[in-house]
Amino acid sequence: MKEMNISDSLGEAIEGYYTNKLTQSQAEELLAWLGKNEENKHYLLELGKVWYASSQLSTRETDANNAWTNLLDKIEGDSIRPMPKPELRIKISVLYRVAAAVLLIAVLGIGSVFVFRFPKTKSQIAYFEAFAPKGSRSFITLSDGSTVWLNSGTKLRYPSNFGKESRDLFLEGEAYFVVMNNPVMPFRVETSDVWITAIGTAFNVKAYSDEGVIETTLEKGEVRIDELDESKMKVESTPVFLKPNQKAVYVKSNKNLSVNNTVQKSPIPSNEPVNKIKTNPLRVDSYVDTKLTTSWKDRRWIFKSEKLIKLVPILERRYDITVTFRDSVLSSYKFTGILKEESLEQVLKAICLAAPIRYEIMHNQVLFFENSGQKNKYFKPIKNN
Amino acid sequence: MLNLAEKYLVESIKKGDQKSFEFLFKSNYSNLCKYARNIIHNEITAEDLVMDIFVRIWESPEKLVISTSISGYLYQCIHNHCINYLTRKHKQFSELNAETIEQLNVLMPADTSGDPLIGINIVELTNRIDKSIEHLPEECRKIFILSRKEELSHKEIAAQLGISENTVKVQIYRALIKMHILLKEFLPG
Repeated sequence: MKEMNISDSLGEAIEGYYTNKLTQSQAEELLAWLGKNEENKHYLLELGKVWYASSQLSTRETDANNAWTNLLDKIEGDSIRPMPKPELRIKISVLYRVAAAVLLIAVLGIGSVFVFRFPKTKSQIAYFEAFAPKGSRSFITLSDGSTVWLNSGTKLRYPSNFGKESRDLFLEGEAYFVVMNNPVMPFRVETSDVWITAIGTAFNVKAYSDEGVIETTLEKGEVRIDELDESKMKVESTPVFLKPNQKAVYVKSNKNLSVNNTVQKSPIPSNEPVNKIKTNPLRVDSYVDTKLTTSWKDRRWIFKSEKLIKLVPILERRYDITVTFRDSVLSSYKFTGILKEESLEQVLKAICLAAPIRYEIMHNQVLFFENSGQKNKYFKPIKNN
Repeated sequence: MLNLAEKYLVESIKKGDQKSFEFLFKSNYSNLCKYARNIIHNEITAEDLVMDIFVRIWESPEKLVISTSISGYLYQCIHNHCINYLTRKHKQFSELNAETIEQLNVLMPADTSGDPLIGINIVELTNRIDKSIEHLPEECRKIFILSRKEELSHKEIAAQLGISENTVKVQIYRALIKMHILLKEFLPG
């Protein structure tokens, strides 16, 4: 098509046609032009394609979760349809080998740390916050020479006088610390529920706010872990000390459980023994393979016999996606593998090759389905065992 | 053509699987709202119209016949729904007399022959448009970005840049022609 020669006034009319703001005189000019030949009509239509598609450039997002709740109210008010149950109800524990491997999105330490200053508080202490956004990882060196690797979706906050009078940090997310030795100034990491104190060590802390546990894994040295109460004070109970290759798992819900018991005490007759169900929220596992915990900071990500449901939060943070399971049975499939620098697409394909799973991806949402047609193929060899 | 996983998704929705439907909804809702706002210029109505599309799919999934792609299908639905809404409510070209509107509709019918979305992949086209923005002259680019990315009205853009609304219109039109030239190979026909 040759280039059109169009006057500004006709241009305004064309623009008005798509923005629904045509004046009578513009409409008449437009009609006269359109009536001339088919080519003009075709041209108007083509500009329309660009115009409509350009709406998608908008950076204004509408919250789909809220709208989904409204939609549910609407459709459930009309009729509730039974949901098909997944066919397979037995628990499957199969070791899948994922041959391929994942990625490291950003080159460690380059460009992906956002550090900004918090406004000064009354006590005149300014805070810095280092942030590794979803889909990237980063590392920083603190003023005392200690190094911190930040996993995707992690915030690390520390005062501007860090290393001068104290070495205190606040962590939300996952980080691996290599702490410079300084016996007089302990290195302390505060999380939502526990406080970890180190002198000179290498350890990993995983404390994402959307996960039910806080895990501290020690590679070298010694750390001390104290539970924190609601007012962020140390709980006066015996702290836990970790030796190398030990992992402390703090279950957030166990803390809540003990609180609930106290509340429920009143309806229980007083001659009943006081409820002692309180499970210690801190558990220590010995002889853990620390590589499995800390490999995220390297180019390789290693996992062993890990349920898909546990891998999903990691994938979500690494690639900034949201994963939904169509068939709940999939969540208990177990995977073992080493993933390197793979794209999201490659990882998803690897998962689908290794197990009877199919996926659908749209924007940043991923849906996993059971691939029932392929299921027999995968389960047969297991039966033969 | 739908890929295998897309087919699977459509099949599941037809069987009444709510998880699949939720996925379809959440992965497309915000983008469809952008599309509708561009036509309707009213946030609440735009969201209502998008909601209608999904209620319809959930209530009559058997009518879900998709030949190109799922998102293409949804854009087509919302496009038609918005245009129908404007026509029904006599809100399309409300400043024009009935005769002129009729003439426009005859020349540019809103049915399939005049459908602006036929044969294009919106997601891909949007990416190309985004990449072409840098080739626009400066003022034109500034206005196009404010209008498209920030969703500012002509009035707001005019006020912000201290220019007239007509200038905004002309610059947006110029951006469209320039884009059209740059993306010619990508537009069918």
